[in-house]
Amino acid sequence: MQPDTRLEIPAHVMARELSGETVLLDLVKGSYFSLNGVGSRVWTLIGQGMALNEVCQTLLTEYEVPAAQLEQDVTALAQTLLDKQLVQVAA
Amino acid sequence: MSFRFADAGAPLPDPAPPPPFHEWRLLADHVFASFHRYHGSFLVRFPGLADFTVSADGQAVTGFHGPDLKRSTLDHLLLNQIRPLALSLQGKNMFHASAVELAGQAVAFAGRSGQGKSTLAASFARHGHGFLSDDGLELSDTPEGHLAHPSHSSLRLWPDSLGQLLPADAELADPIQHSTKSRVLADARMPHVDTPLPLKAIYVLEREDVAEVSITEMKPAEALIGLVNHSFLLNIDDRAATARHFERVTDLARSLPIFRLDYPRRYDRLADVREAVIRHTLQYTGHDAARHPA
Repeated sequence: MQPDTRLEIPAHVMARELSGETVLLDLVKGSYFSLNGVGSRVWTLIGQGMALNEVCQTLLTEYEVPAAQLEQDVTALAQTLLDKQLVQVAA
Repeated sequence: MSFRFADAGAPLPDPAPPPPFHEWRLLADHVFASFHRYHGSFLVRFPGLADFTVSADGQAVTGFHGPDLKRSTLDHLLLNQIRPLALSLQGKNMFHASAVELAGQAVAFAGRSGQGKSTLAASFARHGHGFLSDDGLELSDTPEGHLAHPSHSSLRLWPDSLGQLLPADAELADPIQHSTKSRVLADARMPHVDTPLPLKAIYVLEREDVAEVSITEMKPAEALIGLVNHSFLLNIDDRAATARHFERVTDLARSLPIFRLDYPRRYDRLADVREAVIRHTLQYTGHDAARHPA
């Protein structure tokens, strides 16, 4: 996955935000996945069409965290979501 | 919902259903129920016991069984397994939960099989808080809030629970062939509530490896996943139906207080559990806990 990779949310995934956390439902598998506060924010920004580096730039203005650590965490989360087929690489 | 039994021994119209799309297993090597698509309907097969066809809209159920199967076993399968699944096909919110009356409202106990739903319901009922359901609880949305609906007026209990909770002359339904559980019929000593009640709270039964009773509020996202995991859903391949269910459960998780209930699964601690739940629930209603003894 590259920094300028854009991900998109497939039609079979539903997301609902509850008190700052997000629950994802995979309608194909019937499986569930929970995102914490920062993960929810990443999900929202991905859903807005941002590339991963744009997601990181935005988060750096919102959270006090080292850039390298943030990029590593965002990439890891994106890879997890990709592996679970909760997102797909945008065409 | 219409229901009929085929003549005893009558075969399924098509005895060779396609492979199951889902199974319930009691043990790794023991399939309790398998679920098949079947000529536009569903087939729920309880191996060695009975088959049930359920129409896609959940309105028509037909039972097929061998000549040796007792009516009590069929009733048990119908009431506790098939009915909730058929109602879920009708778009109703069905949960693996029991419910009891408390100060004119209902509280529900959600949990997996064997977690203590029926035992808790029986324990409350034996102390004056009638039970609405011991499993397969239907919840509905109304402008006034969520309602818990009563189901059949019996409880299923393991033999040790029977001895601990019920008087020796409690009325039992005929034995169930596939289980050592007994179905206990409600009476004045273990009353059943037969009208819907406003649902006040849901307690999700969790850890038993604890020394004390504890009640903690679940985060809404955690509560949502808990409720989804304890849902009756037959047509899990129907994305639209699953999405609608997810929406409804999300609304429940947002609007209802949902708590994790951890407690030691010991009969001599049930009074502590009742007392903790009553005190906790009544905090939300402004009732005087002293007027509702555990």
